Amino acid sequence: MHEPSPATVRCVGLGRTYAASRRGEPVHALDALDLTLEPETITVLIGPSGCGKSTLLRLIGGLDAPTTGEIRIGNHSADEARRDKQFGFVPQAPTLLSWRSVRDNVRLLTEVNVKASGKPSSSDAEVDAMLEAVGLRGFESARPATLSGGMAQRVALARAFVLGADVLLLDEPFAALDELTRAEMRRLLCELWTAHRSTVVFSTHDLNEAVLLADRVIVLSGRPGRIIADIPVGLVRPAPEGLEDTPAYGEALRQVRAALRTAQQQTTIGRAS
Amino acid sequence: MRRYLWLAPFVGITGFLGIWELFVRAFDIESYKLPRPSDVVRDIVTNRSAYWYDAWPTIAVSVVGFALALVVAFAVASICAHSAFVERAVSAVAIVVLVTPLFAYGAAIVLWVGFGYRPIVLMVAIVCFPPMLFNAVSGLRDIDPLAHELLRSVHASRWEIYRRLRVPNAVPSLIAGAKVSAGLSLVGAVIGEPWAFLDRGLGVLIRKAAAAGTVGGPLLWGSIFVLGLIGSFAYLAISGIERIALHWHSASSASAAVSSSPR
Repeated sequence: MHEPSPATVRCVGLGRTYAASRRGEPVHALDALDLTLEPETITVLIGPSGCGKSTLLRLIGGLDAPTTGEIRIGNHSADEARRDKQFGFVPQAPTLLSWRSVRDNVRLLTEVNVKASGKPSSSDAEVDAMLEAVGLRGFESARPATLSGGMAQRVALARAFVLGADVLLLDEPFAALDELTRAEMRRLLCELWTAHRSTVVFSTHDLNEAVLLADRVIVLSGRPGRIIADIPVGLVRPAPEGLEDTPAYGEALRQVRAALRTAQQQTTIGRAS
Repeated sequence: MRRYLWLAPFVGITGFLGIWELFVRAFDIESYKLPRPSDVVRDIVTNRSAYWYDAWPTIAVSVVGFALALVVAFAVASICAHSAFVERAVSAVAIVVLVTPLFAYGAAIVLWVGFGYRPIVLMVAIVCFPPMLFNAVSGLRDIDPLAHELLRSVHASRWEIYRRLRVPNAVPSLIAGAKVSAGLSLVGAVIGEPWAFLDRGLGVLIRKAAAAGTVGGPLLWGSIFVLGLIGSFAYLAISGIERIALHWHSASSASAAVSSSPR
């Protein structure tokens, strides 16, 4: 068997159960989930609230340990991959440190864990090139408080991409933005991804966003999170003008919507029983 | 009106003194009961070197005690921020210290560490410690959970998280704590001085003035005015540091747990 690429993410029999709170039952966030993510692809996770999207992202990124099953990032465990800085993480909010300039925020993650990872911190030139790529040239010294929501999320994308990580984990990164800004951010993400070719896992609530970004849409049902559907999409990225009017787009959207409806029903039934 | 906002504190203080002056004149109150503020100010100006002679040791012990409390509180808070158990244990002690009247400690501390300036520095430090501790703990502990995850996603060590996230995050609340403690440090010094049988200090001067009976009025009030002046200066100095630090820190994160600062 050939050596797996360092950017292949494999989840085998993955389950995560959270211990019961004072009263009530333990929460089964994920159950026996098998999933392999190929390098250089964008996989979108979609599902009803509480379906374990965030849990799955956190497990892949080694921020949380699975109760059952295992995760391999190439030949490594998630924890080893995290030590080697193989993950770029984009959380729901931009999460910029208010006391650091835009440039120093982009550099932040490259400054830590330099020894064990063997990756040196980014130079000014590297950071500035990344800021140029996300269209924030001239804002290098700006403070986060002075940025708009879209600009702040650009900084967050730059901060993830400047790591040069093999795997990018984006947890509903554009959820707080308005539709026009989201469209811009999708375009930007596609451009950055085309240049860096990392394995991207992207969670969202938004059907349109899922279809426009994904090579593959994974639809999850809620509690415990299971895979309801695995839908290949792969439309042209970034989406050209009028893509949303094509039959291919319509068909993909219809499939994902149908699967999502099933997921929603299963979740409701699961909760009722 | 907004343009003249900076004038408001001066108008407030002169107005207050003016009303006081008129009140004393109108009712012809004797000066040992309540002196005119103009007499008090005149007394301070004529005897400024005598006041300075007593003010200087009070300022010195306050500053040293304040600094001691700051360093110890920050060190203890750094441990507390990493352990909820330690935090609760230490907070219990700090609360007991906080709610015990400082006056009660006076004799005990003098008996313990002896006469001189050391017991007073210790009293100042004790009274300054709780607000600094509580503020430092909340600043070091209450970090953005997403920022914490972000740093963990690249395997940042506890030390790196402390240095790059917790400490800068604590700056605004530390300053808020320092503001509260700055005023308290003078309280500690003035209450402590008579216990230590010192012959200098504003606390000692107040005792002397009180003992002088009917002739002590201007001296007593002079000491109080000087204390007020020193306290205001300390408050303004810390506010100045705050402005610089929060400009650097950005206005949006200027949150403070225990702040007595009028904005």
